[in-house]
Amino acid sequence: MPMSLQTYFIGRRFILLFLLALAPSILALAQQYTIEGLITNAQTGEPLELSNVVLLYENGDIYKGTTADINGLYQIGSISKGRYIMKVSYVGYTTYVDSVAFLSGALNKRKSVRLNPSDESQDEGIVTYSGRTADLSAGQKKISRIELARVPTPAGGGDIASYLQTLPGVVSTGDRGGQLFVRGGTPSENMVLVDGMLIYQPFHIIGFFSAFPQELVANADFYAGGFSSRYIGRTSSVLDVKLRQGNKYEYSGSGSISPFLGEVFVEGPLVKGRSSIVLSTRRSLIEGASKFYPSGEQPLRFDSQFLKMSYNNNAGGNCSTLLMRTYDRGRLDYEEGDAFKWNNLLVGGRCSGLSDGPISLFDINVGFSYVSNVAGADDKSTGSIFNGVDKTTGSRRESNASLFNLDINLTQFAKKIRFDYGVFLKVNALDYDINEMFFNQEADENTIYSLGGYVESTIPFGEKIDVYPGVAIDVSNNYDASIEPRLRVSWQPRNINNEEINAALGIYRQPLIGITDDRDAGSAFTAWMPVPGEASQMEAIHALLGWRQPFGDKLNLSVEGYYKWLKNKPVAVWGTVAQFSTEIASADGFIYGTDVSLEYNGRVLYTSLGYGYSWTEYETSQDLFITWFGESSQSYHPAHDRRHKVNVQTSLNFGKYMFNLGWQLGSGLPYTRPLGFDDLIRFEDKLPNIKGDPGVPRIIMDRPYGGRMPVYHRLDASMERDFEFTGGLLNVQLGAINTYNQANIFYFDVYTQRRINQLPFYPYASLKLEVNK
Amino acid sequence: MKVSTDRITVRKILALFAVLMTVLLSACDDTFNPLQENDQYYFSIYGTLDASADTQWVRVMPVRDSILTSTEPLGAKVTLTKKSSGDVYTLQDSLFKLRDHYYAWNYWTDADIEPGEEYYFKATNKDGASSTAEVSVPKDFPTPIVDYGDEQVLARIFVDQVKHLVVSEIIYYFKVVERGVVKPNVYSESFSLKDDIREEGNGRKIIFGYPNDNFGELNKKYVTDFLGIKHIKQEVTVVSGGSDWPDERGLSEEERFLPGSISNIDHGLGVLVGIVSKRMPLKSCHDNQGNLIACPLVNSGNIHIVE
Repeated sequence: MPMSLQTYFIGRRFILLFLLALAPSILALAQQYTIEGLITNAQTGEPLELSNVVLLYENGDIYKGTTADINGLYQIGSISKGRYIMKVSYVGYTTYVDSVAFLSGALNKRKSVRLNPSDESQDEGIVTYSGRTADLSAGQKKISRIELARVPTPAGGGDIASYLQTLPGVVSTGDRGGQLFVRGGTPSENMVLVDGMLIYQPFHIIGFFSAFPQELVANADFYAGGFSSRYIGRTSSVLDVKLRQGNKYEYSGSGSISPFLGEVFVEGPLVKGRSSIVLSTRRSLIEGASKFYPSGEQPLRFDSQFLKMSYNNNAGGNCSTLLMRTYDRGRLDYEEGDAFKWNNLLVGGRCSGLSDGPISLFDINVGFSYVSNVAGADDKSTGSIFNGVDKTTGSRRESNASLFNLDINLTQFAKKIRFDYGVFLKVNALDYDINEMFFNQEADENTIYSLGGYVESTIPFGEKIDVYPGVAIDVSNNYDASIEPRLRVSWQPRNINNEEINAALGIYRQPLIGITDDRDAGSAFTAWMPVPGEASQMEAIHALLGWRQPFGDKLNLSVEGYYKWLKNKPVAVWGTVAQFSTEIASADGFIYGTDVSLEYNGRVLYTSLGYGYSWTEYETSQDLFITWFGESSQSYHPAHDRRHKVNVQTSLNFGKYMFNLGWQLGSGLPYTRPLGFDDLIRFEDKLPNIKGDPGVPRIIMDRPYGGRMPVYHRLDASMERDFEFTGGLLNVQLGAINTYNQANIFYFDVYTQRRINQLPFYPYASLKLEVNK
Repeated sequence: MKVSTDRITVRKILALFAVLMTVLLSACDDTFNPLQENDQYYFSIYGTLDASADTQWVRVMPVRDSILTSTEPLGAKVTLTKKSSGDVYTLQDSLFKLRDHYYAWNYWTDADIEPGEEYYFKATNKDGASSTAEVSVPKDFPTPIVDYGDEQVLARIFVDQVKHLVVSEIIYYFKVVERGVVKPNVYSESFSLKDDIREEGNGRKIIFGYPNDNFGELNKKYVTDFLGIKHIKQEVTVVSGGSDWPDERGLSEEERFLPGSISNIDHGLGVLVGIVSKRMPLKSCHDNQGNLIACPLVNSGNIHIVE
């Protein structure tokens, strides 16, 4: 397929910029000193991202400083010969102070620091370097455990799934289904990583929950677009979740229960001071508890198990192994819809640490990820609330995908320029088997081998501008080699923390496609398959421009605009027959929008107001269109095109009490508005059998996605209080989902004219017990 | 001091929130009409008016709001008007259950449909809206002559005076034999002969059939280690169609499903055409002189076919 002029010129400019960006690294290296190392939590070994590292003159004046990256890595270069005081600080930890001398010997000094958590306020010990500090890329959102706790969630703690839905550019299908659409992208275009491993379907069937509860998350980076060259293979967004490492010195645990789920979490040392374990298990309870609610039974269930063992050599080296399993099943349309079932299995290991020689940090991941996905008619033979997918009917759909990945990531500094680069090997095995009632079976299986790498540099231009050129390369047995240049820029015009202008431009390609049932939004089934042989990879060009502006210490404004050009986007072939089909057509399109966020973070009050505007438009040419519309192509807004989204999040903290409010409003989603239905009887070469042939069900419509569903809005509220006791803490929470009982449509089956609403007013209480030994 | 500043801010933010909610909620419209107004298609009508049949059956279903069907009476008035005489026949409704949860309304009449005549079909709903069709029934034609004997591999069917030969097929009637036991149900399978027709200069059409190949396909489809089939009889159907017989040539599968792409119903969907059909046994018949002649027509309505 010929490359468009637009892509050609953008690609050419990128490569030129990239080469220019690398050029400074070849310049001569002056004889000055460098210090680098890892800043970690002394108890768990977790890296302390954004911890402050400062070198002071002996008189106490600041000489140089920096902040640690997501791996806890810091580096200060161009240090003149002399003695300095080194201070390492992080909120909630005891400040580390030591003297360091750069007088003779190696020019590159290694010094890793382990900070001890502290209950005491350490504000007076924190010295912040006044230069560039924690900067965020365009499209990036850092997610901490505290932020997860602010979103009213009907459980003993927060969850990433609930949190993400509060972001302006994120659209969900509702309170069940586990599908998130980011800035016009579709769920299969999102990359979700857990400790570096891909997880295919991480969001649970009950929309508040994911495989990442607050208790397990160390931190997460969410990129709504413009992500770096390290992330290859998806075109919409990246959620990179780092899971918590266990405490190497003390045992602790927690258990919580609510009408929605029960959860147990345990952590502690395996070998004291060296290795730790984290165990967690969750199980939904809503199916049983819903019997006591007037809104009726909810045939939804999920559970998950998690095990992570970590080893830390206390010198910056860290290895961990991870085992995770999730299981979901249920009926999204709880009256008579299809039954869905999926499960994820992840096994993997990761080692990272400081390296001898020129490489500062290495990070090696090896993992295996598997997802199985089944949908079909609910087996009603047993008469219980959920019976599973009926194996005897002719409409069973099944899809399996697995991925083995090995990747090596390295970090290296050349003077002030930082290089992040790496290589990866991926083996993807995909199969699907779709058997739709009245239609022939479709089945296929594929194995895709791919090998690639990336390099990205961080080049400071003075104290105010950082430029991040990068490129990713991917070769495979299944598609043409892909070269994806990307460029990010950040500018802090006044060197004020959080005041920043960001921009990003890049090419993103995706070799795998996830086909979902485009007939309705109430489907959780995805068939994974490679891009068809003759087609090119799906491609998106992201352009982002963002501005973050603090007003005083507590108020922050963030505005970000984005534009995405889409090419070769697989879409379902339009038709008038009521069937799920893997037959796909290619669409081009564009997405543009703006996310605005105003955040107030006071001592008592936290509140954020978000607004997202988005316009998603596809254009597709299909053989049918000339006959149908008299034109060869059609433009349309796909089913997830939410034009406006408003979100308000508020937390009030009064002593031991905490009040959380979350309100969301979203404009209506497109859907196909039919004129009606009939059944087509064929006359081909034989007489119609009027007395015996029911015909083929057909939808009569003008054109798909011509209607809009009603506006969606919901207010959730919770109130919680902690009760402390010796060796532990009891947290009691009272709350309600949809407090003013708005009838929000979750699912409207245009084929049967049935409307399934999201949860009505749903009060709940939760108890959480934390025990420390 | 900080706390009091926060309190003022709290009030401002809550006030802003309240105003915002009031404005936004007042803009919300809960009314939701999922269907587009339909003033184009009232009924979906499928069937034939067969001058050779004693009873005419026509599927008449409303273009409905849901893919599901109902047993509720349509309350439709369905009539057939013979245009030359103005005679009007009213069709009677009959409910058929064709699979689980699927019901179809078929309308029937025993009015005599005459070859070469034109008819006006009209289905009117309770609101007075109607779908109509003009139906031309072709002229009658002589019963085709079949040339096929027990030892023959090739069957030839000679058809005269047919302008639009729309259907030509051999129908095989058989029973299933399970472990040596013949089951009572009679099944049928038809094989179209439309791809092997030769037109003579005098307007005669010769249709070629290969029954041995058909027997082989039936065996392949049904015969296993413990299942067999017992053939009951074979028949040939030849149908002459009116000019409205749907021409699906050149259309993709998706195009065939488009509303209106194959339809002769005004303000509705579907196909209703006039035909003259002839059904004969698949065998040769001879006169006293041994000349090949047309066999008497047959009517398979006296055996129950399981679809």
